[in-house]
Amino acid sequence: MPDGMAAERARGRFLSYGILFFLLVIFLTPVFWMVSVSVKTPSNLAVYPILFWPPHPAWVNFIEVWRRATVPRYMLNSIFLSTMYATLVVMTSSLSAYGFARCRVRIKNYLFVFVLGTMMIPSIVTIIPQFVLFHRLGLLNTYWPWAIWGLQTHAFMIFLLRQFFSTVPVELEDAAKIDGCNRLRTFVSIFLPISKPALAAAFVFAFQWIWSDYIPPKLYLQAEKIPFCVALIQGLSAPFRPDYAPDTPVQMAGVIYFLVPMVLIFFAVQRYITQGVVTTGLKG
Amino acid sequence: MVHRKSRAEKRELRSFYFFIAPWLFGFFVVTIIPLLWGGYLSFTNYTGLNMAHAKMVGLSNYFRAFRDPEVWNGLLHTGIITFVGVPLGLIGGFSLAVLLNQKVRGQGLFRTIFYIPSLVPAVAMVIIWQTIYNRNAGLLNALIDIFHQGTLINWISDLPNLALIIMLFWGIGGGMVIYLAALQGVPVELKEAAAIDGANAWQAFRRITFPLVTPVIFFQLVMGIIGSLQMLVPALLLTSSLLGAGYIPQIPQANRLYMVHLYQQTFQYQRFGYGLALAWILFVIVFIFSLIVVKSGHFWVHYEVDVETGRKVQ
Repeated sequence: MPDGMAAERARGRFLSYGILFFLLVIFLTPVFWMVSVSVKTPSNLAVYPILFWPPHPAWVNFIEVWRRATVPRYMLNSIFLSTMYATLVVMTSSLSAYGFARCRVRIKNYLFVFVLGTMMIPSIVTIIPQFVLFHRLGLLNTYWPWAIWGLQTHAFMIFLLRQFFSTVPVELEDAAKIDGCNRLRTFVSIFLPISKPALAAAFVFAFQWIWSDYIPPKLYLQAEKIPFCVALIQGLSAPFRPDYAPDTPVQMAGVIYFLVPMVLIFFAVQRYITQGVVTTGLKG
Repeated sequence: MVHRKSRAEKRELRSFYFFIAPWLFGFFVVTIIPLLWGGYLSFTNYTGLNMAHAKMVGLSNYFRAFRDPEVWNGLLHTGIITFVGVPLGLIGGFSLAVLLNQKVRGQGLFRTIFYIPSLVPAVAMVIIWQTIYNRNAGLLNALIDIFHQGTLINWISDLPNLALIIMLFWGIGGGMVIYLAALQGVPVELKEAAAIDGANAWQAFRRITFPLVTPVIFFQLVMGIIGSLQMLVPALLLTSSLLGAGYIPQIPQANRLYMVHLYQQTFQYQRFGYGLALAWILFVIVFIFSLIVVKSGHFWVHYEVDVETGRKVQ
């Protein structure tokens, strides 16, 4: 290889790493700032020029979050809502996905177009009439709407799981049939066990949606029933409690508590999730 | 001869309906019925009180939307966010993926760090960025201050669209992961063959790698536009003042996106009929733009075609 080319390649390398490190710093700065704000005191926030890092980090803010208003209750609300929805939606969507993937009927391809079609409808068109309906049914300030949304399956989940079920070899299914399994038995005892990775990924997706979903709980729930993410936006304050007035550093500590479970769960099943994201991203 | 369904076929059909029953319930009861009922309500003056007071008002909600300056203002801002923000995010995510697709040491670490911000939900993102954009105590002004003393820009109220685009740009790692997977799926043999034929790196990228990943870029573009046209939470929360225990979104008029206006008309002022008319107008707009993008795809998206059957390779 000529010297000039090697030198040019080295320069290119150097440039790539330079750009990557520069971008790394930019992407991490908001994360650093989040931590920095979360350990400031209100008086730290008021000084000029601003403090990039407070002289005496107030780690106590992370304890203060839990002493505020009804934060443990909000946290439990979030865990309950997310778990309930995710469990239901994975159960119902995997059933439907199996039907769309494996049943040998002609109509399924026509119906599947509608599954995909519902993904294209702007959600606001159904959110408003659903709100009016649920309101008239007396379901406001209850968790029932989440149960109904869980039972109704989710187009994206069906799509994801159908993709996975389609890859299971036919022989496996035929063997079960010969052994006298009906469709449901085949689904439960063959497809579910081998689909654990896909089901785990689907569960995590669903959990994270509800964990971070803002508009429905804001519309449907009030007072002590709200999930953590709505409480967070309200500054973890509580009505009639001036000692729980919104306080940016404590709120930011709350943001960290809000993000940690999401990031941890993500890394626990990262491999499956990236796979899922990539397949659905590729096969439009 | 008329094809009659055998017993086995009937049984198969029955079990199919058994499996998709939850979806059928969701599709008809929770989606289609509310959808059509909402369409009906958009022709009434329903205000969320007694249904008996709701009167048919014909098309007047739709005419009102055309005369509402807030609607045009919202469409303008939504247009800016969509036609600047989405391409920027796409180019940014793709460039990152191309950078990482070289033989970079620590690729996994870089990928993870660029990806993490895209996991941050809008609610948390907004709280973090409000402290960055803050006029007096914010990080961004402080950083600009190093080069230009005395910078006091009120990012969120003076430059709301830019503030929103920068904030969302932080999440481009989500697209990056998908592009990176697509780039890594390009067969090495093709690139080697091009190199043997004397193509340089740029030519190989332009003629081989890029065409092969256009379907993925296309899919991301469609989803990005659809998502951006109906963006609500980041805009609603970023531009509203969170402080104050009551928390009523106080959004300066000039900053409102279409969806924010729709949301406020519907839920804050309880104008359900008008809100639904606005929602259906958005539905039509989203539909038209999806069609345009999908049609444009014929000109630049490369699909591999099976030589023997002439069908698209999945």
